[in-house]
Amino acid sequence: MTNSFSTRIKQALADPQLRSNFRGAMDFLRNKRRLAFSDEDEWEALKKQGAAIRQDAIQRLPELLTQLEQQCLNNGIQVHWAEDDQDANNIVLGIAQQHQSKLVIKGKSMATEEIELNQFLEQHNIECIESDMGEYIVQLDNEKPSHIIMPAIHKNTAQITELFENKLGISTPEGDVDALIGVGRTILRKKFEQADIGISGVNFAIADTGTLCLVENEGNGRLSTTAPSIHIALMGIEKVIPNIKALPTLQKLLTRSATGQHITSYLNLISSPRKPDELDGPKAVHLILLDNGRANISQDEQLKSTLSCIRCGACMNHCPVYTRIGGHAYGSTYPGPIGQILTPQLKGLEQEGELLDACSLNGACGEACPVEIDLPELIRILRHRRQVDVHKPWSLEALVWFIWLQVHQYPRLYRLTTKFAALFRSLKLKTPTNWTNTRTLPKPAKLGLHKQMQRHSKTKSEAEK
Amino acid sequence: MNKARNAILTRLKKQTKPNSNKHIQLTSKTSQHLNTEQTLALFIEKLKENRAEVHYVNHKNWEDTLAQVALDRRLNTWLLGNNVSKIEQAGRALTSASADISIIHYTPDYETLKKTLFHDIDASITLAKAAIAETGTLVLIPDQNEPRMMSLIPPVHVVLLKACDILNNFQQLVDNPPWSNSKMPSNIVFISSPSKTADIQQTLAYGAHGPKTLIVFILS
Repeated sequence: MTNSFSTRIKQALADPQLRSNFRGAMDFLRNKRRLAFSDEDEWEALKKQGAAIRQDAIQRLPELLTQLEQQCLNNGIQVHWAEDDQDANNIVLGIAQQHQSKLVIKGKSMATEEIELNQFLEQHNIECIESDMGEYIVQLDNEKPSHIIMPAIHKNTAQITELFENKLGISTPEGDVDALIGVGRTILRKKFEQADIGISGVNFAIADTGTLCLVENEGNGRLSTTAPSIHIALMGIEKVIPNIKALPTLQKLLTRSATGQHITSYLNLISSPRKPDELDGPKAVHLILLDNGRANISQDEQLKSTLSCIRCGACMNHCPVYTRIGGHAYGSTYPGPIGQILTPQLKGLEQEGELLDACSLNGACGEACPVEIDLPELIRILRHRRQVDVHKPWSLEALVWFIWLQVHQYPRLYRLTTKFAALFRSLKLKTPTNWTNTRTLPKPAKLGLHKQMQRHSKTKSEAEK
Repeated sequence: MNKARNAILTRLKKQTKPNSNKHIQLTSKTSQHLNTEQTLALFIEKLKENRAEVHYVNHKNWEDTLAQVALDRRLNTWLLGNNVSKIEQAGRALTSASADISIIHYTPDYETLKKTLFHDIDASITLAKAAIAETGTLVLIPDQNEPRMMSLIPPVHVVLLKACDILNNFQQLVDNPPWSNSKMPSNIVFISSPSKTADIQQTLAYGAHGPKTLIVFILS
């Protein structure tokens, strides 16, 4: 991704295939979610509970994380702490080297995308294969996921058929999704048989029992965490929840918001490696707790609700900007509204602040969020900070808003301005922005709204007399 | 490692106020007032919606139905667990139904049985410890008698469930779990459908990585 954000947006907007793929997918997912939450009262009640559980957990992170660590250790799970991506990658590499592993199989995990684990392991001659069908497709085409739940959402069936033909030399009948999935199944089963390390993310980690919860449909998550002799789980430190009683609420909110399913095919609770009397399961389980900027977010009173996120993807599914430009244009691991607030906080406003521009503050993401993160407000706060901290105080935008403020503060000035606007309405102004390249500049009315209202009420009162 | 741990915990504690620890009311609105029959009916309806094959059978002669399923689907090599009397019964019924049917017991460890598990098994049978009607979910607790792979690797997975073990919803299950929270089992799996994916253009396809077929026997 060397192009600038605006170039990538232009490219995405000019790609009719991409736009139709996203339009179709977003309509599908929104509709499924709407049906899953058809009971408005239930939705409101669940959302309140979900938000309360997450906020409470974020408030108690030090306590819950140390409890989780202790319980995991008691259960025989080895716990590692990683301050950043480098730390986390090196921990994985260390385990792989210790076992002379050359093949790693991975279940879908956005945290591993965040630390770019695949690329890192590849540099050290360790092959890391994605086993989620969508992730496998994306990896096959040397791409990154364009959606956090459905990684290959930007491709349609025909494009995937062609990809399999080109990269794997396997042709399948046109439009035959079952055949494509069959191909993936056969190839990846071999990998599950061969791989000596399985890597997964964590959807929720239960502190008081030391349990890792994984939510999935395909069974690749279960295979990745069962077939290889070593399982490494990577989780952001915010994913901890106090106890299993919090799980039903969060599970309902997560799967319904993500794909409109009341539950996924599998919910996998892992609390221990293979015990001496057991016959299968990994012989060692490692849990890596990744900070990578999260602890600092938790200390920011205005922004800490960012960490409540359960990664359902509903915000991007409902975002009019995401729907039009797709996930790749953002150029960040997490696209859409959650990516717009998370990425600048993880990587700095200076570097990633321009992501915040891609928002109309329409509010759809905030309404869709199942844990009541006020995404539009967070975007607004970050925009403000960017303006204050990063931009020069006298940018053109600041100047325009300064004038706007003056005009709206003083009624006389306001009346004068509107009067002039009406007076010179037929002048064709050359604006310094790109706005008019694709749009017609609106023409001020002959009479301002105030004048029109005055006349209106005058004629009305005369008529009443 | 300790350096990272301390640094992270220090950052986290910078401003943390005394914990809130407020009591969060957790409720499940739907299907709380169902009687046993309604619960069973809801469970079967949801399982079928999730594309599972469901047999509601008498606990005395359910093996006959199982043998019929094996013959109809030509399932010849069966993977069975150990030391479970219901499963032993099933094994006898299967082998007496056809000379083509053979039984493999998951007695050696995974490494020894790996090749067979990946290549030679047609179907397996395991027990469910509980079930959730609201979502059509089976709760399995793999152990040394029924290892984790049994419900994961065979193309056809058969589950036995006692009708009396069906609960209304998930919240009821965690309020009164069939396991001990102070001594969690290594693995608990909730299964609600055959393995599936919609990763290609939102088109639902079954048999992604796990079992392609899920057959549930509910014993009255």
